[in-house]
Amino acid sequence: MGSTGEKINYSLRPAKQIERKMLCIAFQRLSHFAALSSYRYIGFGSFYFHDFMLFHKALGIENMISIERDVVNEARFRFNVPFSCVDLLFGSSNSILPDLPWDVRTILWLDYDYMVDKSVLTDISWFIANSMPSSILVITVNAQPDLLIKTPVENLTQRVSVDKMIPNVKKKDMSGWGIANISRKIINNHLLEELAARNGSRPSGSKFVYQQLFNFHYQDGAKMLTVGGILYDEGQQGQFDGCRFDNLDFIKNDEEPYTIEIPKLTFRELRHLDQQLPTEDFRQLKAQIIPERDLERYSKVYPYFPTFAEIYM
Amino acid sequence: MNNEKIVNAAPTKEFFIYMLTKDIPLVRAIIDLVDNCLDGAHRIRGDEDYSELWVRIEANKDSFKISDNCGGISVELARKYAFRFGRPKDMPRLKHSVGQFGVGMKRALFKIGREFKIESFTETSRFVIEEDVEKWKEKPKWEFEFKELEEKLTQPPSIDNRGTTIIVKSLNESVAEAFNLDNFINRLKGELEIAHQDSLSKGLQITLNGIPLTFSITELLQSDILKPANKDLEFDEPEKAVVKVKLYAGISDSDPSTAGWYVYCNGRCILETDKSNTTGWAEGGGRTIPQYHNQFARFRGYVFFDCDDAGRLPWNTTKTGVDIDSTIYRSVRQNMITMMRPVIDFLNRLDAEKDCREEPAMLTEAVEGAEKADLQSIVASPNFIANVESVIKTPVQQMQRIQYHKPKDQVKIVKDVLRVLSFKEVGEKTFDYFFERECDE
Repeated sequence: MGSTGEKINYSLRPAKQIERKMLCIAFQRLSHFAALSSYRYIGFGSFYFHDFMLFHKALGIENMISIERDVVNEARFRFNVPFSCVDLLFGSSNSILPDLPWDVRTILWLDYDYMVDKSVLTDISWFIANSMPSSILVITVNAQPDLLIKTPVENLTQRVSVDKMIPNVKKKDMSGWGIANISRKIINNHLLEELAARNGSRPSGSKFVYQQLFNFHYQDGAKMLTVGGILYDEGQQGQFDGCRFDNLDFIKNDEEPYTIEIPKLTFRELRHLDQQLPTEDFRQLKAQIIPERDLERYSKVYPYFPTFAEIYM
Repeated sequence: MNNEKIVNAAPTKEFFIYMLTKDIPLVRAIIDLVDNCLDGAHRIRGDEDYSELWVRIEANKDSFKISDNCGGISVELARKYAFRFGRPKDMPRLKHSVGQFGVGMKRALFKIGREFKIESFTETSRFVIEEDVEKWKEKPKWEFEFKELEEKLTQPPSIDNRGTTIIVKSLNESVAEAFNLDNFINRLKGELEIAHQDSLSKGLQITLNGIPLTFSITELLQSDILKPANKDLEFDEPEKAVVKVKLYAGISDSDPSTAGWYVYCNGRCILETDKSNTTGWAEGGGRTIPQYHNQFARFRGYVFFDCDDAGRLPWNTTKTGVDIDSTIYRSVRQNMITMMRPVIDFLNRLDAEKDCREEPAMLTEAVEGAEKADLQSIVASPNFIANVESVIKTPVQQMQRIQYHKPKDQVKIVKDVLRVLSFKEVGEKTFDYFFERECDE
């Protein structure tokens, strides 16, 4: 009831899986700030804990907390915990985050299945006000236009409150990826406002900087937005530069999104293309039978592309 | 210059006499007058010890008088600055002052009555100014006149006589009525005690109609197990006076009337027992910090802003609250929220413990075993710490209240079928019925 975990098995969402792997590649770069094993990961693991499995295995993170608001199915969540190092906490992220210690470098992925609202902004406030420098914040929100809502602008305004809403938004701005773009702005503006408050008492030379790294658009079913970045001390600029986030093509530090698009290919086609990848130009791929659009998409995402198969265990 | 292009924007005396005074309650106007005495005390004594200094206030239906021995106003200060409406830019700054805006004294005088007399002695000078406000209003010039003036006293007055006396007569009708009410005088006393708590604790004696003001020492409960949170912040910008902030959050007696946040600017209390969102209550829709409720009656938080340049402090001109748009205050508020959250969690656990009588009351014992410590003697700890694991856990299940209306006769039928006694149970049982069949797997 109410949890996305029961609605869908996340592992069958290819775009989501690609996003997860891309985030993981970016997180590996954090070793320029500190050993990855010194980081804590906080996420919403659901029943499947895919993010936890990936980040534990690929990053070696052992301090892991999964926040689960579905208290009714507590036993089932506990049964599905993948590793002993994953701590399950039940309740809303709004009330759990303030309960945690914040003197640990943290990767916080707030992977909501709903649209941006006041509770999303509340979690952001807590993170910005309390997290250690070199921590990462990632926020995923639903950005699917709902055609049944006649006044989407008013609806979104009400969700986030008037003073957090972007001015002059028209109904037509809310179609397609419009909600995603507006949601990113709302999140970004709020985040910068909280950051200014935190920086107030910090001496110049050690103010905190927020640098956006992620701005994903993807769609397994509903249109989703993932926005996020890193918080660091301006004295750590050298370490930040050392991460070389900019040479990852999915890193986006402004309003231009990275759209994760899924090519539709058979296993046989995948193997055929893999043999020819990487390539400078996807047009060089020898596969006339496959539409060019899918060739382009696959050449971008093939290192992260998940394959699903039925197995007998 | 072409006169036709000029629009008259000159202020009128009526604006200052009748309009400006509307912005401030009478009690606050009187507190402002005491602020001036304090700045005098500060000028001669610095920030530490105010013993032997006094402020005497007498208020009755015929007149109002406030006198002090806080050093007096020099002729120079009176002539150039003290009576200007608004603080002139070239005025020599008194460091760490409470007077800031250059409106307090004049606004208070106009608020109280129609005739005033100010007499002030310093070590070397003396002056008297006497004005009838109605007559002054008719004069075109923005000036008061010294009625008596001695710039070089042959014999300096005794230390106890160096000070200022202000007498206001022809009280405004509503003021005379207020001064005649015991309740008003009591309220004035209470508010003076809170606003000037800091100065009172430094030895300044303030009396109201002969009764000395008292002060309570701000204390928080502390023990090996319970440690109040306290933190120092500094706002240091190039070429500006540094703003120092001290924050404390913890618990004390269970008392709804004194629970909440207290905010001080240069020793002056501008916000007391605050339980509003200004100080972080109900933040995040009540999820980060809940709405104030009496189970938090033990909560106390104190914030002290201090700055040599009073203009950088986050107070409003009536000194009755914080300027919530100030960047400094926004930054401090963020810290207040972080600091109060563990206290709130502790009080929730304490409350849950009280509901379960049979378990050992570890938290209650921790509170009862702690002793009050004044803020100066609190051990440094950035977070509120309660080193005690309660057996009782607050239930994680969050509840949602549902309310709806249905035709009375239908509800009665359902109630009979369910064989329950209350409408509350009708709602609960029908919900359970639906949930079991449609939602529970």
